[in-house]
Amino acid sequence: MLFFRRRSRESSLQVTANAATVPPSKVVRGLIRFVARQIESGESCRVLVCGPPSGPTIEVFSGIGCRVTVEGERTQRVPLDYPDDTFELLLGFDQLDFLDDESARALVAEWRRVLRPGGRVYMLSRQNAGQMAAARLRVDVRTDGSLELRPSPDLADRPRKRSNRQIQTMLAPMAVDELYLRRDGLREISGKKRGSASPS
Amino acid sequence: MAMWGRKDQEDENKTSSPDAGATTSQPAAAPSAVPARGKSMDPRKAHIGPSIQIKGELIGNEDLVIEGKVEGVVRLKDHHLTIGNQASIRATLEAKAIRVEGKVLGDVVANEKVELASGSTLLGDIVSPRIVISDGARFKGSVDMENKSAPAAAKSATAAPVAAKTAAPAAQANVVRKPAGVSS
Repeated sequence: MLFFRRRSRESSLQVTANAATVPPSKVVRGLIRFVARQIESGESCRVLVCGPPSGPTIEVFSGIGCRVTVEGERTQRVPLDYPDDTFELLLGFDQLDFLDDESARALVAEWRRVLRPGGRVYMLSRQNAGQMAAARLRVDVRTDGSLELRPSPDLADRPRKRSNRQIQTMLAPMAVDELYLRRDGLREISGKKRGSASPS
Repeated sequence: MAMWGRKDQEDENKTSSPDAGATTSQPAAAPSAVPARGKSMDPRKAHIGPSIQIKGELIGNEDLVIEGKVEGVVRLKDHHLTIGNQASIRATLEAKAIRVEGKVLGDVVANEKVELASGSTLLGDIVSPRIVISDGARFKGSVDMENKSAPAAAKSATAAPVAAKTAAPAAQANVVRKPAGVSS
């Protein structure tokens, strides 16, 4: 059985007029450390970013030495145009909240297919339709592990509300082994694809 | 929150600098002497108007603005290339700096910078040491930033979390692990 746990009683999301900043996250730092170890060990490291494209995110991972691929389409088409076991890291920003259950499951299955065994996945999902609800969020990852969230202007859409259990069921194929929940309306979900682990 | 550790302002500034360029528009071209042909018109740049279609290889040694349709290859060594918002490009683009405001289907190679303006679409790979993506730009493809200082960056990335370890224990308490038996 998989449980979510509330992360803190106070909001860690710093919201300004048109953006929100998530303070440095242990999860994101862990991902940056993971890809850096891949590069240091001489392995290739490919990162797939699904969501509105972000220059800073690309720069962070390219700067480490990863090859970054962006799927910046509004609606992710499945199947994805990549062979099996292609990526070491997959970042899924603001995708699942805009899909119906069946489409979301299909996308998750595709994410699992293109992720290498031992590869990591990191997703953000909204817990409620609070601030910035009517637009997709562009997520900028910083080198210190913090995130900046901004509404992507031309992508107005209303995210679906899902319970923790629904999210849990939807992500079952990913074999997600770590789940975080922020109290402030943002779920942070990370996991590792099972199988023979890549060196880390 | 102690749970997340202190915010490293320096790192944030470092990474946010490219994005700063994304929100503030590039210095506009000098006011056009021919306003009827659009605000992107610059008398110092060569222009390919919206009614012009080109198929083949386009090579030049001056800055170029494309508003029309181009298929093939565009090469501007050491010069700037602007793809206007009316343009429709199915070509490989090579230049010193490339700004995309319209639609491009093809790979983009720049020695200096690639900039995707709001409302632009790029379906293809980017090779450039610097990339600026404005809010509202659409992009699908791979990015090669040709970063020759990658090993140094990797080292700093692995060192940074060590410095952040002081904040880690608090955060670790909230990790929920999935039991080994649960799978799809």
